[in-house]
Amino acid sequence: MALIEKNANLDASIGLSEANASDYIALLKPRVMSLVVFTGFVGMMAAPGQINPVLAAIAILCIAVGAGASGALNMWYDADIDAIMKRTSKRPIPAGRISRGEVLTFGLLLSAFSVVTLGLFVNLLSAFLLAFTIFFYAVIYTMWLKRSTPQNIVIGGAAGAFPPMIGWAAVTNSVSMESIVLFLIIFLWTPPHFWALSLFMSDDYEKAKIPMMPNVAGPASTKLQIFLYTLLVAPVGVLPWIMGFAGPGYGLFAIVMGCAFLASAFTVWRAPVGDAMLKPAKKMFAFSIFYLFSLYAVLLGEILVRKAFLVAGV
Amino acid sequence: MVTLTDKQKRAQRSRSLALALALAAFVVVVYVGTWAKIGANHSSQTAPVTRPAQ
Repeated sequence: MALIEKNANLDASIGLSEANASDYIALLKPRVMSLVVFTGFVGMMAAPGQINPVLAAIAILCIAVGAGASGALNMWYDADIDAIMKRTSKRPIPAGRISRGEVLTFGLLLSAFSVVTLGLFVNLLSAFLLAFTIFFYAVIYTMWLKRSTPQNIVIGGAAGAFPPMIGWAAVTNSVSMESIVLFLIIFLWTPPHFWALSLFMSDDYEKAKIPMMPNVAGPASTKLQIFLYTLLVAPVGVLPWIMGFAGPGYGLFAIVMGCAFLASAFTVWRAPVGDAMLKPAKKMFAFSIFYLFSLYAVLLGEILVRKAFLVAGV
Repeated sequence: MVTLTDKQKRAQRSRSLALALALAAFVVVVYVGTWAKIGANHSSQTAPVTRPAQ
């Protein structure tokens, strides 16, 4: 009996893990990473000037790895609340497949590699912005804001909004008004997006004692704030056209999509508190993802067409 | 002597393969990136200087 216990302890101490490569990939939050890579790429393509395609690919890779690293650091710190919430309970740490120590090492190593590589091969400004993004997400949002204020995702949303700015800085080695507008679109989009989610997942957040807006201010106030933030993001979405770095096609599309986003937020706001608001909240959550993705996709499409015409000399 | 279970062996193999691929990819990134960087620096140094019109 004692011998078996001793061997069990030995197994644990030398870390005979059953985690496979896919568990480590899950730590990188691939779905979040894909949106980060996409918006970073659009920022890079929208920037005036040129970058060597190989260096551009390295920049995108570094942004992806940096985003993954901050996801891993988030899972390392939030393992306790991830275990409580249904949505996150299957993640590698709460499921017992990877230890917290391993995840911390993994996250820190990837952070260092991504920032240093970006700094060495692209430029120091983009590397600094990537380092700041990782710090902001892991420390300011995850460790500080998330458990202390219902404004957590309002301020924390900045972390998800930096990638287009990093892409822009990789090409121009600068931060300009255009890249700030690309930042603002995601920054102002984050609160209505996450509050729509938290309206129908509030029980999960309540169990984990995370002060999301519906649990602190109530669903009525949350619905109003969703509408107010959508009122802000809809016109900001049109700014790339007004400022002249996107064409009329994008402008028209952003107006239509902004109106649809507003209509969706209005429906959520006017829905009575209770089960009746869950369906419009779910619809709005899904639409918000489509809104952001399609806005950036149309902007990218327009830029690519413009560049193709320039190359063809038309 | 610690004996690995089949599941642990499979997991270890999967992790080893992923680590090997990641390290190989990093070597390729550094190699290709260095050449691209040298090329970018070289072309910016040898770019023709445009003189203002007299």
